Formats: sequence, structure tokens, C-alpha cells
Amino acid sequence: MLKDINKIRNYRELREAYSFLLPLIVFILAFILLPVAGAIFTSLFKDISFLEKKFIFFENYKYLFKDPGFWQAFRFTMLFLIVSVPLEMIFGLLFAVILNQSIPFRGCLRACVLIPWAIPAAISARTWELIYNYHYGLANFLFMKLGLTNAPINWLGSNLGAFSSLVISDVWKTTPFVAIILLAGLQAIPVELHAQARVDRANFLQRFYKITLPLLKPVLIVALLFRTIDALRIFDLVYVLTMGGPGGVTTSFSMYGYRYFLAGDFGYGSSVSVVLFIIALGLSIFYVRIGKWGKEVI
Amino acid sequence: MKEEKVKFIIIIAGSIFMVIFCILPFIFMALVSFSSRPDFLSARTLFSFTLKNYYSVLTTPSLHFIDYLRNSLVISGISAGFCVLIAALAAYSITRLSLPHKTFILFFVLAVSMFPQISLVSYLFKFMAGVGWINTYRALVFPYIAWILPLSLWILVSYFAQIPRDLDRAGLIDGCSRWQILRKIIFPVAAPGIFSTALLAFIFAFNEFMFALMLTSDHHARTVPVGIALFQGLHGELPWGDIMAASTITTIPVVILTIMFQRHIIQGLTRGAVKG
Amino acid sequence: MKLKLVSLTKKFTSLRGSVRAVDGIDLEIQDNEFFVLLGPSGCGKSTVLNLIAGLEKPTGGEIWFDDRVVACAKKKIFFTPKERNVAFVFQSYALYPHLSVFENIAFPLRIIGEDVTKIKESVKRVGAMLEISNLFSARPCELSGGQRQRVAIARAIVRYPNVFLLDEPLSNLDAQLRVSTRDELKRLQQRLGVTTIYVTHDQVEAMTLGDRIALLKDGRVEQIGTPDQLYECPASEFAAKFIGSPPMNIFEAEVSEEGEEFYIIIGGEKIKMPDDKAEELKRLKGRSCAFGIRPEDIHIPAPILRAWKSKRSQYLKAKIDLIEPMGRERFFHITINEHRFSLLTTDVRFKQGEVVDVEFDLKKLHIFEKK
Repeated sequence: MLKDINKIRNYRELREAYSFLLPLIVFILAFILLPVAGAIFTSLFKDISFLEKKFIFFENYKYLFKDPGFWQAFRFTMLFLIVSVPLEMIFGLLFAVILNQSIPFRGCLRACVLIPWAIPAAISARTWELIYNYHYGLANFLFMKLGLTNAPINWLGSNLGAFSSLVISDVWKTTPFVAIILLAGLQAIPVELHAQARVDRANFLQRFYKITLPLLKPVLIVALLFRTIDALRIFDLVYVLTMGGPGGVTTSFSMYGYRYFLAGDFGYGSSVSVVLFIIALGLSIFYVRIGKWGKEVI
Repeated sequence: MKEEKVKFIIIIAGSIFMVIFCILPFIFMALVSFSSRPDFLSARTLFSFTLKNYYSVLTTPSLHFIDYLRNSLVISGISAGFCVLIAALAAYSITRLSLPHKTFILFFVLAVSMFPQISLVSYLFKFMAGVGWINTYRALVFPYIAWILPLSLWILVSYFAQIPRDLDRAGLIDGCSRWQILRKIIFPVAAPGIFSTALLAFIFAFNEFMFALMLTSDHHARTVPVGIALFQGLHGELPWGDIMAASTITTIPVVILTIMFQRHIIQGLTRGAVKG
Repeated sequence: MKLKLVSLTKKFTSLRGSVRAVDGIDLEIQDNEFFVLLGPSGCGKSTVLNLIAGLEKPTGGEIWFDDRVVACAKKKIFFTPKERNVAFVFQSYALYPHLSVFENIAFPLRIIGEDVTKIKESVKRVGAMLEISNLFSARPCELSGGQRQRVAIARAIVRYPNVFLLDEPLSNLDAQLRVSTRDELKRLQQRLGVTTIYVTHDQVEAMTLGDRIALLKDGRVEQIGTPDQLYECPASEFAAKFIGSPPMNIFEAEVSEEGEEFYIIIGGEKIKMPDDKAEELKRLKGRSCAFGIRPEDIHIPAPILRAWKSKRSQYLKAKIDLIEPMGRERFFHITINEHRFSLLTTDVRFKQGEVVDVEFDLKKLHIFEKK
């Protein structure tokens, strides 16, 4: 009898709770989950504009794994991730440590750091494109003036140049995000701990390694997760700066898939996007596992 | 004593490096936009100030810069508004009502935000083409709302969770219905959080690139990032002066917004990320 | 308004299992009574209050307001707090941080759609009553703890509630303010003449405020009575320990029966029980008992009296371990043959470490059956 009432009560409350949640569920279902399911579904078809749709099962994937273009995109994306993410973490940590000091104009500094993050990537990429200009870009001007090189560097036209250009621009754009998140982590570390360590005569570096870094670990992993996922799906920077060039060496996964969509080959493009999706999912699960974060959310 | 001094110097040097690192590209952007020619660094001529780039960007109808700007503002504004409203309802449900599997829902939504946009865009394109929405505001507003929802939800949940439960209970005692509690108590008390979230949602929508690239085709719905990325000169050579002027015009409001609401943005960002 | 709780039960179910926070409570609270729910933390007193307020639904039993059932688990009757017209003062005060003091007090009236002039009038009335009229434009965050408390009370009484519920309203105040607010609260309640239920874990508050007190333990009522009844005749060892400060001495002692007479043995001394206690011991024969005596009922007789009374009284040798001066009185920690006791006296002659004779006031001895 008692149980019955509980059930009825719970049912009413549950309905109420879900009714507040409903709009969110509808939007995520209709515009995120359904599209992903659609992509998985389409990837099993030969689906090219103006041609007849044909179910071909895993043919797209089979072709994909034999496609040198795909492996090039894979190589570039992974290399980009492995180089840019650690740089962002290091710079971000450095910035966060500086921002955490009591220095004059702290608010102003924080705002400055935020600006690269707040500007649309496509717009700042356009500026970077000009900065990397062979003839009159700021990069070559500074490098020559500082005596770092004798001849101007072909930033966007050479393999290494294009890759470094993308890394530099990405580090510039996203370091602020990392710095802000890590700053919050730093501020959560109790001041007493550092005071105690000082009393115990630990020097600056020892304090950093023994206290700051271990306590910052969960936040570091969160930042790492966000950055990894973002680097994996890099698109706008590549689109504006190199268009995947020169000779396709800077084609990222997203860029590669986009080319096929642009050409109207939805089946094959979808299979590329599904592979990227699986990699992203796998990496997230990996980070969540090593971080064990999110145990006490609410 | 000595350690303090060294530390101070390092910090000041670090700060200077940081500021230069962050704003140098903007200074260059602004310089080029005011320069009569983009190659003033290598040219033998001196830098000469001009406003002609701004004039041409703002008055040449065929460049459609004003259209792009309007599209961006309207689309981002509508998306941010709806997104915050929907996320606030959901956050209220998650933090206040007896909903099972709250943690699962939160993490599922977080996982959703990790999906690469490229995996959504082909279906969205077909869907929007099917209902005839391509190149309309609707084609971007709906996906944007969904795309920004996870972030907004996480931020708002962390704000709502901080509001003491006793306030809800006091509202109940004072005769409020659920809806009144939400409208008269939770929303006003969480107003700073809601504002931060709306600001972030706006920035995210404003910065979005791939959906805008795929789902719009011309100045009727194209947003500023895509507009500037696709900016072509009328003849051959890229009109760098115009591009930089357009970039500067777009950037300045964002910069002002960022400086004014620096605290809100940082709070929102870190709430969304560090809470977990 | 008269309140009646009939075998009221609240079970909380979670993944880890279920807990009975309130376990079959029966209570009747009279009209205009100041009723206190007293108990240690986790005894279910706040849950009872929430059930009465309508913030929680009972899983069993009934709640009556006069002759109306406002909650009944069996018949699926449940009135919302709004329908019950109760007022509640929270431990945290729960003032709305985004509203001014005036708007906080006016809030319940605005929700029921009272007209503007009436709201103004009512808020002014309670503002004057609680002497907070000068704070009307302030925000809650600008107020001191005591002021917040007054605002919370003002908000609670502004619309003539049927029942006035207070959940540890004084626990966030400092000691001095607590005493003065306590007095004011009592006076206010008498003036308003509203049935009041007050939850606290502080027995001093309960004793000073309550017309009657219900002592709760583990979701059940341990004892109900006036403060004097609870102090003079605790129904159990728990009640005896919980009420009174410093707490009652509880000890175990051997009982010996010689013919019609009963003795208890403390510190090697056989002490004869007076007739009424002997009766009680007879009744409890064969069951294990504990004895209790309040610190003020152990005396150190003056030497002259001692000589005179020695025929009739029995003294015990006690060593004074520690003396805590408390102003008017002194609090002694003593040991009688390894047993520790405490006693209260106004006598200032004694020093730490001294051995003295003490006498138990046997009329005030309490005997508890062990469960």
C-alpha cells in the first residue's frame, strides 16, 4: 500500500522533472544525436549527389583504409595534436601561474589573455594569414629584424612552414582557454598549503612540483580533454590558412571529410566523419578513465 | 629576499611576454586596416594613415559586410537566448527535482559536446535542404542551440546547485508554485550566472564556423566569420586592407565585451570546466 | 489552531536502503501552545516540522489541523504548504537575496495577490512590531545575523498563519543575542497567540521557551511534558541525560534486599532507600537498573550539621578531582570509590584534591530500567 503511494508520487514528480528537461532532450536528439546516427547510416551507402543511392555495407570503410589521402589526414591530425596540445598546456600553465600572482592590472591582464579566445577563429586566422605572408607579413619582418633567419621563410607554402604556422596560430588561439581553466584550479588550492610548505623550507620549484602540480591534476586533465578533442576536429584554421595545402600535407580529418561533402559524396564523407567520431569518443573515455573526475558533480 | 626579487622580475617579464603574445596580432590587424597599403612593412614608403578601407567595407554593397554582421548578431543573439532558457529549465530539473540518473544525464550531455561537428553537418545539410531552410537564419539557429546547450547546461547546473535549497522551501511556504519558484526566486538569484552563460553562449555562436559554412550560401544568412574567411577581392589580389578593416570592426565589440565582462566570462568558463 | 499527529511516519528511500526518519509519532498540540520538539541531531525533529509544514509528504499516518486532515498517506490526502497556511522560519533564514527587506516581507502577500495598499499596511505593521522599519530598503546581505532573523520572522507572521513553525531559528546567532532573542520570541508568541512549533537541539532553549516539550529520539517520542515534568521526572535514562545542564549523574549500583528494606551499595557504603524508592525497586526486581542523581542533589554538609545529622544520614567519602568555578556556583568533579560524579555547590571552602563527605538527596534519586 505504502509502496503504491510512493510510486504514484514518484511518477507525478518524475513527469514534472522530465517536462522541464524535455526541450533540452528534444534539441539534442534532433540536432545532434539524430545527425550522428544519420552519418553512421549514410556511411553504409554509396550516396553521391545526382546518383542513385545504393547500400554497400562497409565498402566505404574498406576503401577508406586503403586511401592514402585518409592516412595523410590521419597522420597530420595526430601530429598536429601531439605537437600543439602539449605546447598549449605548457604555455597555459605558465600564463595561469603568472595570472595567479598578485600583480598590478591583474584584471586587465586577464582580459588581454581572453581576447584571442573570444575572437572568431576564422577572423584571427585571416590576420595570421597576413602575418605569414611571404613578402610583407609580420612574421618574416620580425624574424629578419631579430636576426633569426637571413632569408624570408615560406610559411604557408612549404610543408614544415605550413605545419608550424597552424601550430603557432592554434597555440595562440587556445592557450588563453587553458590558462583560464588552470587559473581556476590554482585558485582552488588553499593558500595555507603553500605557507606550510614555505615553513617547511621548500623552494619555489619544489612547491610547484610537490603541491601545485599534484593538486592541479584533475583540472589539467579536464583542460587536456577539451583541448585534445578540439585539436582533433580542427577545421576553421586549416580552412582559412592553408586549405589543406601545400599538396594536402595539412589536410585535417574534418577538412578531408568536408572536401567529400563539398563534392557531393555524402556516403564516403560520412564514413570519414564516423571514424573521427569514434576516435574522439575513444579519447574522451580514456581521459575520463585516467582522470576519474566527475564523481561528485551535484 | 633574493628569491622574492628574482620572482618579481620573472613575473613582470612573463606578463609582458604574455600581453605581447596575445595582442600583437591585433595590433598588426589594426595597423594594416588603417594603412593605405598592406605591405608597409617591406615597402620603402612610410606608413600612411587612411580610413578608406573602413569606408569601402562599410559602403560597398557588393561586399555585404554589414549583412554578415547583422546576420551574425541576430543568429547568435537568438541562439544564445533560447539556449540559456532551455538550459535553465533543464538545470532546474536536474538540481531541484527528483530526477533519477542525474549524473548520467549530465555526462551524456557532456559527451555529446565532444562530437565532431563534421559528423553532424552532412545530415544537417540534407535535413535543412529537405525542409528548404538552407541559407536562412533557421538553418543556423536550431543547430546552434543544440550545439551550445551542453556547455550552458553545465555552467547553469553549477550555479543553480549553489543556491540554497531553503530558498525553494521558503518559496513553497510563501505559496509559490514550481513555476513561480523558478521565475521569482531561482532565476533572479542566479541572474549573474545566467548572464555569464548567455554571454558565453553568444560568443560560441558568434565564433562558429563549419555549420555556417555548410548551411548558408550568401549574404542572406552568411555570418561574419564565414564572410571574412571567404572575402575575395573583385580582381585577383586579396584586398588585405578591406579584410583587416572588416576584422577590426568585428573584433572591437568582442574585445570591449570581453574587457567589460571579463569576470563573468572567466567565471562561466571555469564553472563549466572545473566543476567536474 | 489545534494540531494532531497520528502515528506519523516518514521513510526516506535511497539506493543504499531506507531510513525511518520519523517512526510513528503521536502528538496533540493545543491551540496557542508554544510546543518544542527537542532532540539530538538526526532524531527526526526537523523532518516532523517539514511534514507539518507540507514540505515533505508522510509515508504513513495522518496530520490534522483542527478537525481537517491535511495529510494522510492512506487516503492520499496531501495539502500543500500554501493550502495549510503555515509560516516557517528557517535555520538559514532563507531570505531572498535579490529582494529588499520590504519586498522579502511582502513576498508571501504578493504571491497570493493581495492589493498594494494592504501589502504596505501589513508590512509596516510587522515591521514596527519587530522594530525593523528602518531596514526596509536594505538587502539581506547588508544585515547582521540578528536583523536577518527578525526579517525572517516578519515574513513568517505577515499573513496571519495558522501555525508558526521555527527550525532552530537561534542557532546562527551568538550567545548573547540568542538569549535576548529567545525572550522576545516568547513574548511575540504570547502576543500573537499563534500555535507555535519550535525545533531545537538546545535543551536550555526548549526549557525556557516551551509550554510543553516533546523529546525525540531515533524518530520516536521519548517523553512529552512541561519543562518541569521533563526535569523532575525524566522517563528514561536518555531523557535524564539530555535535559539539565550540567547533566545528571547516571550510575549503576548493586541492590540488596533485607526483609522489607532495600539498600543500594555505592563505594562500599550501604545506603538505605526511602520507602517510595524501595517500592520502585521492588517493582523492578530482577531487572537491571541504572540510577540517576542531579549534580545539585549531591550535598557536602557543613561540619556542624554533619555531627548533628550523622545519626540519620549516610555519608560517602569523595575525593575532589577538579573544581570549575561558574560564578554563582562551583562545579565539582568527584570520585567515590572509582565512580565519577559531579556536583554543584555554592560552598567555597574546598580545594582540589581534598577528601570530603558527601550526601545524596535520596528523595531526588531516579531509578531507570535498562532496556
